[in-house]
Amino acid sequence: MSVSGTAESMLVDVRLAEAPLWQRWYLRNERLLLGLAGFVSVLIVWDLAVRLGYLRVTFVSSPSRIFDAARLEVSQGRIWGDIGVSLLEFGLGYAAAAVLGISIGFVAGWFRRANYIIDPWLAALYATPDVALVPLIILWLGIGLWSKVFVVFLTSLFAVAINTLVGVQSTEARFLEVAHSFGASRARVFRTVVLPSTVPFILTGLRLASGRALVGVVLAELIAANQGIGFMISVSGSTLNTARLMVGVILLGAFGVLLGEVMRRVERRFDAWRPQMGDGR
Amino acid sequence: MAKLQATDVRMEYYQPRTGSRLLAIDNLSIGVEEGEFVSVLGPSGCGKSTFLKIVDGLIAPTGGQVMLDGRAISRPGPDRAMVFQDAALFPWYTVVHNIAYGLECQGLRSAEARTRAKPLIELVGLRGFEHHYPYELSGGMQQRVNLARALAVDPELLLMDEPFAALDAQTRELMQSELLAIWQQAHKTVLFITHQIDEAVFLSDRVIVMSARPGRVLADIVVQIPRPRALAVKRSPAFLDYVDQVWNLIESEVKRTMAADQLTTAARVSGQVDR
Repeated sequence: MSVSGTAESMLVDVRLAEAPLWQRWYLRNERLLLGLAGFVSVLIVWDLAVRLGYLRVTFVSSPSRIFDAARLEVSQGRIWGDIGVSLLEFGLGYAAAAVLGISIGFVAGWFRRANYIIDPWLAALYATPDVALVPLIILWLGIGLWSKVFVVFLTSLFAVAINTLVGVQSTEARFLEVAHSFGASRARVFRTVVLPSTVPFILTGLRLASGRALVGVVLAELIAANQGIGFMISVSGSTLNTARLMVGVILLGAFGVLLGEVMRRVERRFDAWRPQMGDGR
Repeated sequence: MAKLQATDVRMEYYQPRTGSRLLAIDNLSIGVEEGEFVSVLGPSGCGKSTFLKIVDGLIAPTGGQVMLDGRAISRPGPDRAMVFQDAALFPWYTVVHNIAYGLECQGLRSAEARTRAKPLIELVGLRGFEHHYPYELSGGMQQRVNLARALAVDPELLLMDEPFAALDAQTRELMQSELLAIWQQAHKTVLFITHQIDEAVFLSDRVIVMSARPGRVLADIVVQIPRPRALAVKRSPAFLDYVDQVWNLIESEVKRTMAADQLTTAARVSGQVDR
């Protein structure tokens, strides 16, 4: 009977401790180093291929040209407006989807009859490709900020709602039984059993939704907009400014990575009561 | 009158898939006296856990009734507390919070509930683990928390549903002996469900042996081994006689269940639906 200490998977061969310093440093950072090496090699090959004339600049640009384009964008200051608008659309739509999605999920998961009414809508709208709705939404709300906010809201709502719903429904029966056995009220059962066991599902929903929301922003801006990163990409594409187009794409990629990382950290924060990855139990 | 009196308890299920009915418990009558430690022993599937849930008020029987102190049981109440199989601790709560849970359900403020939970942490020997999460505890320690959670509400009747079944043999023996020590301090009436003969004999004042499904009482055996009982009792001739006696009663039942299981399996394999 002991508290779980270091899991076996966390332990390493004792011989490693006796290896030379550089080798230990390498092994500790191997993942990062190899990842970085792969990334840099691709950039070098890409740049060389363009310089040596194997690839056409018009189609693929090149790392050095993209870097120059990025510098130009920053010095002109126009890009900040695009970033700001896209972030605002993302933030507003995503926040609304989170609040409403979690609420819908709880209602549809907790009340059986509400589920019968709401579930077909969730299933149908989740299955509908969001792109199909964008022209309709633009028709309603114009090409300004609010049509984009609404597209983002719609693309991210269902991931949150459905995950929350599934979370509520997969509350373990034995935990509900414990709560009932101690005479917990319905409200207490919800607060002490259903809510905590649903939190991981909500966080997964929020993480999935954040990716979809980002797609939603770009999608809506590509179709009709007058500002934003998606708009910038669209304009750059039609004017054959490939380097500037790439700047936009890289910005989106970087934001996506950052977003994913933030969401994973949030998930971990809420997971104090669960064994960490790699812990034997 | 007995502290707990179950009269003609019957539990019948309907299986929508096959359209057939399943009689889990057939006219079960059991009485438990104040302060008594009674085990209900039976082969798996004999409805003993179902019976315990009926006593707890989690399930309503389809026939008969259960009285505690002369009042009919219809739902869970503060006079009973269940020690669950496989611990069933809330993984999102720490040890002290889990133990305080029942008290909070009775309307105590969280801080007061935790203060009241403290002595129980001592009682089950988990001092220093108050703020650990269940996943950080061994199986035996989880069962101590499970027991402390039930004792915290100071119930008249403690219901224990095979609490040590999932533990390894050594830990199980130690937990049995600790349970007896705690029981003698706490003066509770205990209804203990198990499928292990030696566990039932070692712990109990009376062992009620149940038949295979549908569950009926096969025998009601008074265990006259003096208390306090040390683990060494398990090697005494008197103890082994009791174990033999129970085993002889239950052997044919176990064989009957196994044969029935094989028949059902064979029927399923050959594509027939069991009716």
